[in-house]
Amino acid sequence: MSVRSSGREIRVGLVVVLALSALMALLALAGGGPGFLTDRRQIDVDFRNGQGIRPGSQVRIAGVESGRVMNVTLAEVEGSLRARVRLSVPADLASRMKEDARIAIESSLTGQTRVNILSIGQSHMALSPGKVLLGVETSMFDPILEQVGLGPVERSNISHMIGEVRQTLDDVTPKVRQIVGTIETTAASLKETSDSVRPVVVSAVANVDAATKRLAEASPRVESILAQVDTLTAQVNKSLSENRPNIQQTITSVRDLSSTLKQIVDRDQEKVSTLLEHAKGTMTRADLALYNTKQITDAGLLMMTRNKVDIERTVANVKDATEWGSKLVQKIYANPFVLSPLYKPTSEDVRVQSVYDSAQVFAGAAEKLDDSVKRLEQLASKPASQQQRDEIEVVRRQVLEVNSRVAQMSQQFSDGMKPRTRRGTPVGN
Amino acid sequence: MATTSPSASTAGPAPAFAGRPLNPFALIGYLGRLALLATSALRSVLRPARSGDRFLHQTAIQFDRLLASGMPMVGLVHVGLGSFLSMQAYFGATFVDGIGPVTGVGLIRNLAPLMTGFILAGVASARFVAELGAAESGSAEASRMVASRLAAAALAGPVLSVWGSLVGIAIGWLVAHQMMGLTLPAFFDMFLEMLWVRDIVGLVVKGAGFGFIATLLACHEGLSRPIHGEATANLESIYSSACRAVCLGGLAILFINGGWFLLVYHAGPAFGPTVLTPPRG
Repeated sequence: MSVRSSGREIRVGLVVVLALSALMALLALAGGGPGFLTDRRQIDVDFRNGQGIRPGSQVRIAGVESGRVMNVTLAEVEGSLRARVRLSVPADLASRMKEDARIAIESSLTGQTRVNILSIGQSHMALSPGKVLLGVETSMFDPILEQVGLGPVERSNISHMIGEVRQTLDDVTPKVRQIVGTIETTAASLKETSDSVRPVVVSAVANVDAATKRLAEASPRVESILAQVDTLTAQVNKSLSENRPNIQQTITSVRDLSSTLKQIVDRDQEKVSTLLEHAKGTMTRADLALYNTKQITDAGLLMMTRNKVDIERTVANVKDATEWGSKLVQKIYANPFVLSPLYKPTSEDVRVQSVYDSAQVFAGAAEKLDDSVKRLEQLASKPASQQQRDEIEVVRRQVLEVNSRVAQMSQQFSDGMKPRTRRGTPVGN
Repeated sequence: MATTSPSASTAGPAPAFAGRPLNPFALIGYLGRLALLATSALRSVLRPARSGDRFLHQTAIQFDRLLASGMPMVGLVHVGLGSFLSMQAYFGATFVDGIGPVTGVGLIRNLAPLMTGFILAGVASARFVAELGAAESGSAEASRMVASRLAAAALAGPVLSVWGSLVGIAIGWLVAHQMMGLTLPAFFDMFLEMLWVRDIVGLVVKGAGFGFIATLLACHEGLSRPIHGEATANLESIYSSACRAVCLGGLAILFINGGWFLLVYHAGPAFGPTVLTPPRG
């Protein structure tokens, strides 16, 4: 080898070095595995059992190598450590994978482990970048289990189905319990209701039985009544059949009459309509009169209700006046000379007259008291407004006043009724 | 003509790598000279300097020499390889059906061209370093000599690789048959089933490439080795140049073999681009 190299050799050597460098770079890329010139995407998958998977292990799909395991780390998921395997697969394969893709670790009899993409999934949602899939746990006996339909995909589907059923049960159980509780409560209520209703039902049944018995007892009479009705019906039919010509004549007459009336109506339609209008007006006035009468009656009733006491008192006064008149007539009848202008009443007459007058006053006061009491009772029975309370107060004062007068008058009356001595004082004082 | 070093001839045989400081520019220059030698050889074939140059004749002579010296060695090496692979396939994996693929596919896919390339690097270095010492580096004659040798080695490489594969497969079956009772169909059925087209293509491509690069290095070392006055010094320089050619050739063969494996096998299944189409069916 010559120690010194010419410039030409150096230049050519540089080209060779560059070419070799590019080749080595290409070989370094090729070391990444299949599809080293294609776009690749990394997918993370968690496994409970890594089964000795290592970086560089194969990734297969349908048994064909499609990628490499880039990295294996530990990740804590739901409180447990899991093997998180990072796969490098071609981008077009990754784009076809769905959210429910099934990925498992398989161990061969030679001890090699590899990642096998069992299915790309059937979900409508594509696998989003960064999403960590949950791997399907497999065993060495999966090839045998697959023969009986219990492969990792089937087991995963079964476990998924069991999970869904369990979740459905968890969701439905409280509602079912609530429904059962409601049914129990309803049953208890129904039982209580039935226990309470049973006597009524029993009694009703007894009554129905009794009614049935009475009906059965009365059935002969009912039958006889029905027989009589049948007989009556036969007689009516017979009468109708016998009087059919008459009935027909009657119907004919009615028909003629109706036609006559119709002619009259047609002829005198205007008069009839005028008559009807007048009748309508009369009816309106009658309604008005009835309304006024009702108003008057209501007012009269109100007046009578309010002045019942006055009316009664007036009636009583009239009655007293009538009695007084009667007594006066009796007195005149007993002593006609009372009417004479020359009549001079004796002291006894005067005394009797004063006693009589006192008794009259006493009676009037008693009547007044009675009126007041009645009014008081009447007002007390009604709801008490302020006005009513004032009236009650007035009446109460009247009652007290009258009561005092009655007492005074009764004393006078009592003195007057006593025989008098020659001095004119009552006997006993 | 190779360079002459008077001081070296009087001072005795020089160590193999004496006087060669590690210099990046020297390495780049070395690679440049290799490339220039290859292009000059190709130019001499495409544009012969004078008429009457018997390129094909010389190539055939060199091809014959390479086969004559290479076939025995390749055959002997692959006898050992075939028998070892056959026994290891069974005793290591207890897998009778794997004996045929392990031996046959293993030899064809990797071992046969690799071992053939190493052997060819040794044979070429042993022969061409000494032969080309008399030629003047950069001359047309040297280019013609290199061209014929490169063509011969590129042809001999695949032939010797196939020869080595056949010897190894045959010996492998014989051993399996003798020691494990493996029948001929049992050996070859699985072997042929697992053999890919790319394996055959690789056998040819790698054989040619290994022969070419090994011969190129040997020719360059032969043309650039120092010529001494004394026979001993000359022998020493031949020896050191040849060793250097063999080592560098082996290194280049390993690099090419690894690159071929990565590009064609490791990175080229169904989901990735590949140089060759994978077998169908």
